[in-house]
Amino acid sequence: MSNGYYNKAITIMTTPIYNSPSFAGNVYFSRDTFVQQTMNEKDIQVALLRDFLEFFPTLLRNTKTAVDQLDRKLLKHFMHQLKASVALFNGVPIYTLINTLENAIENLGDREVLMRSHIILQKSEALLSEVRKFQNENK
Amino acid sequence: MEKTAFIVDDDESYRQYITTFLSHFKYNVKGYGNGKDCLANLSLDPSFIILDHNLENDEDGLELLRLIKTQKPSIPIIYLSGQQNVTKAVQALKLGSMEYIEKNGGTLIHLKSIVEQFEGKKKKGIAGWFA
Repeated sequence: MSNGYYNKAITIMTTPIYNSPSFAGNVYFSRDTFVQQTMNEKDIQVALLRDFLEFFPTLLRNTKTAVDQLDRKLLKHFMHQLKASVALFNGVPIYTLINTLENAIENLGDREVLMRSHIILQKSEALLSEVRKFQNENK
Repeated sequence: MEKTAFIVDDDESYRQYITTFLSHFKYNVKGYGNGKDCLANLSLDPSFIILDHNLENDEDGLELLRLIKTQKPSIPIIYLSGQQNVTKAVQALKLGSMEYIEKNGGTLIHLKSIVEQFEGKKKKGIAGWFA
């Protein structure tokens, strides 16, 4: 892949595409998805936000370590867990990226695995910030 | 009488989400990461078991499903997977799983409806299972 195509691909993949009303100013955190999942029950929402904010940072750290070591087995393992957590708060974008990487990880070159992993991590960090913000606003 | 449910999953965070969610419906939820711990506690007689495909030590959820059904065939199993996989779903259902749920944006809603359906049928007695 030439550098031009590579850079263009990164630009496209890192540009947020979700700005619908359901994301209400957020790029990755879908309030609608979360409210639907929790049936708009405030106490479940509070408890799940607390759980997510407790576990997700560790999951991100573990995934980063697997990326740094380019350990594909470990990376697939943590990406799989990341995907499950992401699905509670995020409609489609990060979930789909992880799913695609998970299914293709054995057939991709190192550079491609790293590029896709970094994009997923970057978006997941943004999701974490948005969930933190949502929690603070709803205390 | 207190209702007990198991969640068996190698993902600690997901075990916690399910525990939190089911606690809201007054379940005493026990979480396990592997088959050995789950099997060792079947005597607690859970109302149902939510079983993920991926377990600790590279254990396979389908194998655990088979073992649970051998030891306690009456316990309903809800099979959980992070991947949409028809083959796996068919295998789980053939082995006696009551439902197959994918971990996605609708998991908790799906789980709630299964639990409600299950509880409704239980209240009606055995005839409810055939309603």
